[in-house]
Amino acid sequence: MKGSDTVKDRLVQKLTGELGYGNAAAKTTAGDLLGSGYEDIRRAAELWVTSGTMTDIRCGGCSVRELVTGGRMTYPAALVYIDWLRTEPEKAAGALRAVM
Amino acid sequence: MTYDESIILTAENWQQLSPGEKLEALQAIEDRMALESDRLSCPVESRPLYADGNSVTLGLYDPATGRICINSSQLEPGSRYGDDPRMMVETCLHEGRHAYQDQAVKGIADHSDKAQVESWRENFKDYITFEENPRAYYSQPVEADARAFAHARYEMMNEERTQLREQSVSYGIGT
Repeated sequence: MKGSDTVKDRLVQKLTGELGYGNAAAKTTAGDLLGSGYEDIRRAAELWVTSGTMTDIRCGGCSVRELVTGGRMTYPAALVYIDWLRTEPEKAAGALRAVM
Repeated sequence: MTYDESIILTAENWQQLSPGEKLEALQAIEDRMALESDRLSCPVESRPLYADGNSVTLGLYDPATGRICINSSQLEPGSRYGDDPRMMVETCLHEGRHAYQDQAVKGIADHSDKAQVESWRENFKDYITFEENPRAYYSQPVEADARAFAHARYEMMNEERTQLREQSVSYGIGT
């Protein structure tokens, strides 16, 4: 439990310090990633915190790499997006197509 | 351009409009929405916003300037949403609703549900962008409210359009 809290704290710090997230956005995103129901998402987030390594994860025709290299979103946001795409595919796909 | 003219133009005539004329139609809609909700009208402008093969930012409301920006690339014919007036009108309605929320929080517009105004105030303070967390962005109160408003008001606009066409036929206009 304590180890998990430490990873979350480090993730929040990395989001605010390196990517300029506000505190609320950082806490929400860290909670989403470490509380994901998908092990590959949780592991990718933990690996990014500890080593800065970005893992490419795919869902259907969408990949973390494409989302990030296209400049659409940050790496942690892309991990959250893949998690969302797996759990609510239609809503997530529509939200990506047209952002307003 | 009047509101009535704009809701006719934002249907089947949309593809024939130049980008400037499309903006003019969206401005007429924004002016009408501001009048209906007793708020200040916002200038509707175009500027380049994010667009790639999979994702397009259609518009935004800038609370610092009180302006609504529409993605200039999507006003061009042949662009992903360039020939889709519904998406562009819903974008204008959506961003106009953010203007209403902003003005309600600042005490410029009067929104009767004060608890909702407080939730908007808290949300604007801790606003999460799409680029930071797309799911949290989509779910936050100001975005959910703006989507619901735009969808409902567009449906109403469809009814207004139908009524206008029926009136035109009964008066023998355009025949």
